[in-house]
Amino acid sequence: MVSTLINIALDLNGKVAKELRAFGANLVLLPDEIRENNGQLLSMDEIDKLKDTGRIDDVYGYAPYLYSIGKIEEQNVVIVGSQFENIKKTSPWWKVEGSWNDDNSEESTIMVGSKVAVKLGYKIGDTVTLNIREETDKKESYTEKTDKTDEIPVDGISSASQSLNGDAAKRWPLNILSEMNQGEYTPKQFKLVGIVSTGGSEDNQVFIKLKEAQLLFEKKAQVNLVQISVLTNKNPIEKTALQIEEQIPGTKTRILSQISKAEGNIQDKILFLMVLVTVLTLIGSGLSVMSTMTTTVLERRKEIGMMKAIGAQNKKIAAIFYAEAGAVGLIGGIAGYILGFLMAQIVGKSVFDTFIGFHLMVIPITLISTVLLALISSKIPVGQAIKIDPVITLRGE
Amino acid sequence: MITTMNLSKCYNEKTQVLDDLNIAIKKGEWANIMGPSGSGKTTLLNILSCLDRPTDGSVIINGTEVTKLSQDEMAAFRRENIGLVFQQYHLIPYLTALENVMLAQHFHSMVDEKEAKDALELVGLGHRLDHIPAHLSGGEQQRVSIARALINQPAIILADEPTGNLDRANGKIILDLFKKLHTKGHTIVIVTHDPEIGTMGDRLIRLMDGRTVDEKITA
Repeated sequence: MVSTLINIALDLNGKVAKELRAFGANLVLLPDEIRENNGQLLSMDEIDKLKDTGRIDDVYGYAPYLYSIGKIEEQNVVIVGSQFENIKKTSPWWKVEGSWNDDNSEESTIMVGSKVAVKLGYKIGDTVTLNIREETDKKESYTEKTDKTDEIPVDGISSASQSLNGDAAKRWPLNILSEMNQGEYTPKQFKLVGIVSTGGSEDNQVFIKLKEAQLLFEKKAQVNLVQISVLTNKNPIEKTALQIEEQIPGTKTRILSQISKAEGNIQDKILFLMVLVTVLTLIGSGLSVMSTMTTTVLERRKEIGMMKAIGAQNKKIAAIFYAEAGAVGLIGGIAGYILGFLMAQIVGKSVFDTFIGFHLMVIPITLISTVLLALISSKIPVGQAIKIDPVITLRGE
Repeated sequence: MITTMNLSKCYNEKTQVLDDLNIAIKKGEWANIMGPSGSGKTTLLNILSCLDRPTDGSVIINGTEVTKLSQDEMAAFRRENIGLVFQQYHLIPYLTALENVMLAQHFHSMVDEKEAKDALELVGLGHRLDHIPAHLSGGEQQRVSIARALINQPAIILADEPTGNLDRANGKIILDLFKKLHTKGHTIVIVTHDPEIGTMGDRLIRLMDGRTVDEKITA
């Protein structure tokens, strides 16, 4: 049991951390204020540095996003360009009816949010004509007032901002909002392949492939932001965020603190539970060993009496019983380790859908703990053994 | 060799098992102690074996007043000077004859397999070394017990009803062994109910209600 729990506990943080990545991204990478004011976005070359595991630790996955605005059948809508294989990893809760956009396909495909699909009556396989707003000067649009937000029929833009934190979260959607219903639109036809349901802002958005978006929005190899999923079991997320900012100059990160804290709490609680179960198991095992050893001493009291009668000192009697307990503990430890390792695999497979790794250190921990447990639990029974009066036991009482 | 002076033993302050007992057994002497049940024979043997303490009086063995020794000192004295033979043999059931003998060596000093084999040869069990007690007859088990008592070369052999559980033929083998040990100079004290044993040895001490009622030279 101890072996099972230690094996699982050693892998737990990693496994739970990966499970918790189902919560979605816990870090957002944005251009810093200077770049933002210059209308400069993040480049794909910069984003590729997130793969540099030598310099940046614990990035589990990331998805770049490029936003723009457009119209479908005169309805304003937020157009999102992204890499969908990455979204599957960073936002695994997305439900897609039909199929995902294929990042590598040459075909112009689109996925629409479920509310957009309902509002406009779209079905899988329909052709969607997306009117993409032609690019205007960024600074000019940024300074314009945002008093037209009330006219937006589809509420994707305001709710999209909720997925971000900080200044950028407030500024970039407003930036887009200010551009709504202005400028020229270029029509482009897409084949509808999937309808997205997330229960969030994505239900009001439309999604096209990042490369196609970059081409249509005239933002070649650029993105607005990157949602990053960071494992928090080894290092605090703040450390990873700092590494990213150092490795990609001109950027800033925003930690989605609610998700990070929730992850930390869950991991701590699970670990505490594991420790508690381990301690209770050890106490239970200790009582069991004590009971067994007490029975052994009672059954062998004549033998002990005889040993004393032929001259055995108390320390030699104690040594015999401690040696027996230690040997039993050692054999139990070896058997326990093997069974525990197998049990850990069963638990790992059924709970985390993956096997628990081999940890060499569990072997000495298991063996030492079982031997120590056996010795400590034998203290009272051995004390009883050395108190045995040979005169009484040899008389047969 | 063994002297008791005003030896008394009471249980629960009511039952007087030994009452002001004075006996003296010389070195190399074979003394038999007889008496009815409850006369204090086994209690006397336990006190002489340093397994029990008297309520009053003292026991001097080989010049050492053993009644003044601590528990550990008594165990050490017993280990060095006394070999015990029990009516019930008291062998460890899961050890072989050889291992049972070697166990006494282990508690005394160091294990010497050859010496242990020689001791078993001496009691006529050279062919039964690897047999566990369950595979030995009562007489053979008692012979293993005698080999165990002898293995550390004690000066004194104390035996409590050594033939009590044996048939006549096996009893004779055991008594022959005691004769052999006596010839070799061991001091032997046997507690017995058997009148035939009572006629052997050098001296017979009769006990009644914890007192010596008769003491005669038999040799």
